[in-house]
Amino acid sequence: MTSIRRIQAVFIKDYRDFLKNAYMLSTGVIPLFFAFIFNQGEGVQSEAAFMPIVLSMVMVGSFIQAGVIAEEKEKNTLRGLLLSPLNTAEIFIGKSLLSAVLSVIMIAAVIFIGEIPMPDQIFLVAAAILISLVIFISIGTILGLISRTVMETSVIGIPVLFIFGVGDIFQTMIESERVIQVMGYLPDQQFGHLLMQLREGQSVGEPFLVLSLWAVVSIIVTIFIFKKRRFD
Amino acid sequence: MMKEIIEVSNVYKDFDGKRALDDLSFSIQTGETFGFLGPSGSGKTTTIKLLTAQEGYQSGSIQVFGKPAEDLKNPKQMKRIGVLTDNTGLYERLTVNANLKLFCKLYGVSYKRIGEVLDEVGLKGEESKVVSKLSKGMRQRVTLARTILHKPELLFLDEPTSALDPVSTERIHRILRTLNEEGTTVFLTTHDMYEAERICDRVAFLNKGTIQLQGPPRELRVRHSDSSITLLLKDGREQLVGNDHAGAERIQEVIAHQQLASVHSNEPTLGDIFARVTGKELL
Repeated sequence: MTSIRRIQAVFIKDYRDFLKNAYMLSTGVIPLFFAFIFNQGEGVQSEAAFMPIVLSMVMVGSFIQAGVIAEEKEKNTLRGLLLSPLNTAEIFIGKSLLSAVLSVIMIAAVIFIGEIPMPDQIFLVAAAILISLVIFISIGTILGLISRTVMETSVIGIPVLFIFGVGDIFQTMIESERVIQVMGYLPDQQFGHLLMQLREGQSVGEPFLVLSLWAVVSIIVTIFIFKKRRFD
Repeated sequence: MMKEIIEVSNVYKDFDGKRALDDLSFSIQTGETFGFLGPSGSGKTTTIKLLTAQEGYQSGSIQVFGKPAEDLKNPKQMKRIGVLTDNTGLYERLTVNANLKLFCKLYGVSYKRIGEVLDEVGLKGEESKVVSKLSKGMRQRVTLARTILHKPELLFLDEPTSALDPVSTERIHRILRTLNEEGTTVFLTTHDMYEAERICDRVAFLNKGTIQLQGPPRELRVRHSDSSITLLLKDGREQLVGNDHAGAERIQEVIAHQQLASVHSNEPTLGDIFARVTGKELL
């Protein structure tokens, strides 16, 4: 049975550890700079307007999560957790809570600092952010599990940052329609479409469906890799 | 009556097609301290991983607490064991107290127990120290404190004193003896034959994934003794005599002439026996 007490214990430990970790702290505040820079320019009326939010999810949701998981492996502390009464669900939830909470705080901060024009449908926006966080935190967990050290997550994570974080910028350099079409199904793009469509009062069923599929697939892949890599 | 807490029968384990454990069979009684001796790469850590359900195996059977080792994945069963791995596995930026508090919560143990275990491992008063500031020996004792926090019935220790100074090693031996006297069954791996002789009720020699010999250390030494006796004379010379009538007469003669400094039976050490049985040193 899943225990709130055990999940809370892991979260509190991660929070205390985070406050003493200069690398994680500096990674965590990077999106604020982007939001600040974004606010200096003229208002963007496309999906790119939401890029700072996506960057928050990538930098905090994925990168911090990857660092937290990789460090547990690197320092051999994950083994200690695995050999405790924690079950797999408690480890996943406990180890993801810090990244999730920090991401939410950072998203709120970048919306405020960047003065990002958000749609009025708060619950749908919250649902989109929640689903996207599941995707990005899962990607971070995968990165952390396949990296041998925390520093390695930065190297392995760079393609993730380019593909999922600043895909909009790259899209302008790509000529192939097919590649652009495929890139359109990436979670960051779908998140942008969803918020844009919400703002314009259009139906958001398709982007929600695509994001949900991404979330399910990323959870399945994470569990698969976790079973394979957790002890090494 | 003692009953078997661990029972391993004909276990085979391969890594990438290479055999790591070959027809491994042994059992451990409740309340025993059982030592797995072997050089690096002999399969000691792999055995612990199998016994604690961290790894699967190709064939054979492993029973822990009378149930398949896989059952240890059940949190209730997991609470019955403590595992100390070959490196510390502590959160280095956090204090000793914060490290132990986490595991108190995970095991549902009162924070009061932190003071008790730190007292047991001789670290009372060090609660507020950050782990990264501790010596290797102290870290190992914190890890041991964490491992025994929930009073496990069965302890798995992988090279618990590896690379520690003699004082820290002695302290850990004392803790293990106390735990064992209190009823904890201990399974430890080591390549330190002195450690095995001092704290183990029984040992098994592991070489290339196979148990070569097992039994109580004293019994093994007697079994492999060549029965000779060394006499150290007062003039510094050594004399080797047999453990027989002629030897007894020679000892009597040396005593009568007041030449005897000391008498030593020539029982081999566990390291000697290991080298004799496997042709390898315990390194």
